[in-house]
Amino acid sequence: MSYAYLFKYIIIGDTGVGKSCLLLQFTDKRFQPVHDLTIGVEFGARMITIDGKQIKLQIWDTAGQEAFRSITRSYYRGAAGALLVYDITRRETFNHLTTWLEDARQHSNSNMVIMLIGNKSDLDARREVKREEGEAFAREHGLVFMETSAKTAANVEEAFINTAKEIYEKIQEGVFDINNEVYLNKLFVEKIVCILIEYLLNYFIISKANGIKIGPSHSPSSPGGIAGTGGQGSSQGGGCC
Amino acid sequence: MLGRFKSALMNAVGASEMGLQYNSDSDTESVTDLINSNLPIAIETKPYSRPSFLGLTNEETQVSADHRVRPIIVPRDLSRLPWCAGYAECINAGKSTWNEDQATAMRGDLRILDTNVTIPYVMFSMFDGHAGFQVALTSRLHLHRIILERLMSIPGELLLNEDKDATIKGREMVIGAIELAYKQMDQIVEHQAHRGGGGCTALTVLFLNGRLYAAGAGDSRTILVLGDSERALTRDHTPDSESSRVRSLGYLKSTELLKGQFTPLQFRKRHFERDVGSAVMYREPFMTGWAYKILTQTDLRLPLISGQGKRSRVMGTIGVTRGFGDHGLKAGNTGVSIKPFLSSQPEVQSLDLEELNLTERDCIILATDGLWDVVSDEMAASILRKTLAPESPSLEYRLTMGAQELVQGARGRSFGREWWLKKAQDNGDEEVKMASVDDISVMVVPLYPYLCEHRQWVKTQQQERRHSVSSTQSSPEST
Repeated sequence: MSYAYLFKYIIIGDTGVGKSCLLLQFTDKRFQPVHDLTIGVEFGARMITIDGKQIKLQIWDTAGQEAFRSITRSYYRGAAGALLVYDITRRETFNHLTTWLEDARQHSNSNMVIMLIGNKSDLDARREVKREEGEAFAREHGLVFMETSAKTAANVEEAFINTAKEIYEKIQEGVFDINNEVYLNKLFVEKIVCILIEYLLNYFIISKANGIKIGPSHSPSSPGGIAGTGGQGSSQGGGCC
Repeated sequence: MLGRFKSALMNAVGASEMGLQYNSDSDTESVTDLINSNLPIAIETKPYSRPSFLGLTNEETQVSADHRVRPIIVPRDLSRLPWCAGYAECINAGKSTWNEDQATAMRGDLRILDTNVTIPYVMFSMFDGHAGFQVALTSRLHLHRIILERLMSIPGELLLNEDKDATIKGREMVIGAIELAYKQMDQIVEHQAHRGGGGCTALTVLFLNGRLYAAGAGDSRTILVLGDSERALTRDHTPDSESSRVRSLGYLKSTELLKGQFTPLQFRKRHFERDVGSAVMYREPFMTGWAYKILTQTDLRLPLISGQGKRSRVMGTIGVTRGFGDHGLKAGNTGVSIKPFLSSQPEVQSLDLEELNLTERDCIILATDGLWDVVSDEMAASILRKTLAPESPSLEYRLTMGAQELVQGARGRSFGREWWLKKAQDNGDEEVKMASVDDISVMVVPLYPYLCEHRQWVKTQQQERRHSVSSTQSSPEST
């Protein structure tokens, strides 16, 4: 399916606050009560529509453990939105928000939209962080705030979609530069241009020079064809390893 | 106008993404009967994919190839690898569209020819592709099957015989099987290599009958991390390390293989026309020392092997001298074929695990040169020990965390378009050095679980034997 924009999101916050569960609820509409510890980074994707435009959300779900912090930091690059999650039943996850926010601000584009999320709103009886405290923190730091439940799905759609709306508005207002990688995933564009150039070069120059017939037998859309012929080119150019 | 251009571009992007049809077949798909066949068979060319144990969707495969962020990918389901072995990978910083490293793992029971005995085995392999992903991918999909077929054709009494005074021990048969399988794998990829599939290095670790076999061809490396010590189990095969083998071949078959374009002699420095007739330092392929000779016109030919260490090249072109593929690779500008100088033969080491005094945290690390270019054996072992040391979370998690730490230790951080490593030194200063911009793959395989499984298997075998002896002879237990 084609889309007008691709927004990259990153989900951050302490371990056990429900980041992976939020992602699963949003992409698969299901809840997994026991979830394995996330070690690396996991990806989710969903298509949404805003203002009649197809927008693809590409969501990076990160590991919350302190031990993985330095790796997580490298994943902010190119993110247009971040969901900063804490657990309303665990005060310390709220207390750590400042360090998360510092990390996010330091390693991301300054225009990144950050949504503060108090998760596990279904466990109101065990609440340790008042709703008002979340609101106050969000106001103070210029974030959007929402309480969600990955279990009951309350506000989960809204959290992801409202963030996208915010980003979309910034684009309309021209806050995000139209040529900025942040929302117009330039990587894909660059990649396709590189592949095309490489393919054409191989087809017109290298294939003829070596008398190897590459091209018509390969479909241009197959990765084997493209990367394969590209490889041939680099090996011929010398120093292939 | 601009809008139309943009939408055309976006369409192209969308189309390309949809056009890439990935195949999520498992690595164990059926191949036509290869048993006892030395003939290279035509095999299907598969579209790009990542190791099946990662369980990546098409979308995730796309995202994992992000050259700017270089996400470190680990298996979502840790139990997909035997003993929850750790694995992590990340893509290069832009030198090739796809991650050309591959890895695979397989476990099962080997049914031994002419007996009813089955013996459990576990195998891990890793490949580092170059000049295309195809040969590495095909090797991932087929090598284990070929090794198994070779193992299955060994008679049981030979395979299981580890007696001290046996003329041929079981381990020698196993090593032979791996060597033959490597050769066959190289023949199988010939067709693909000719069509631009490139080549790859190969590492295989096999656990069988209480022993560990570590095979390697190329510059990927397996190391053993045992207690506080570590050592390499495979040797890197680069033009530098294999200089003698490669130049000897060039020396013996110079007209046929060098075509008057290259010289197998090694000179202390590059000589020019003006040096002809003067005495220069040189050595022949069989020499380790140096000698003098009067420089002639033919000595001015390009050196068969140039450069040193990691930067050494055969015919100025390729930096690795063993592995699969590269059929049809020609030296730049001269058109001389390089393949005759490349070998598919692995060097195989075999260890008796009972002799190693293993503990729970002893592991082997398999990794491609993306790791080893910037992380030494000692550093890798120390990173791993540090990650495995804590009690929580459990070891299953920590094996993958260890692999991830190792990849991170080689990938470093990006500053703009460059990747750097920051390392705290003993004196408190920070040392900054270039990070690896290559594909990086790391596997961390624990050794202890296999030893336990093997002991259990031996026990069961003994019980069964006793059982059958007592039921046929109705006599008291014999030892």
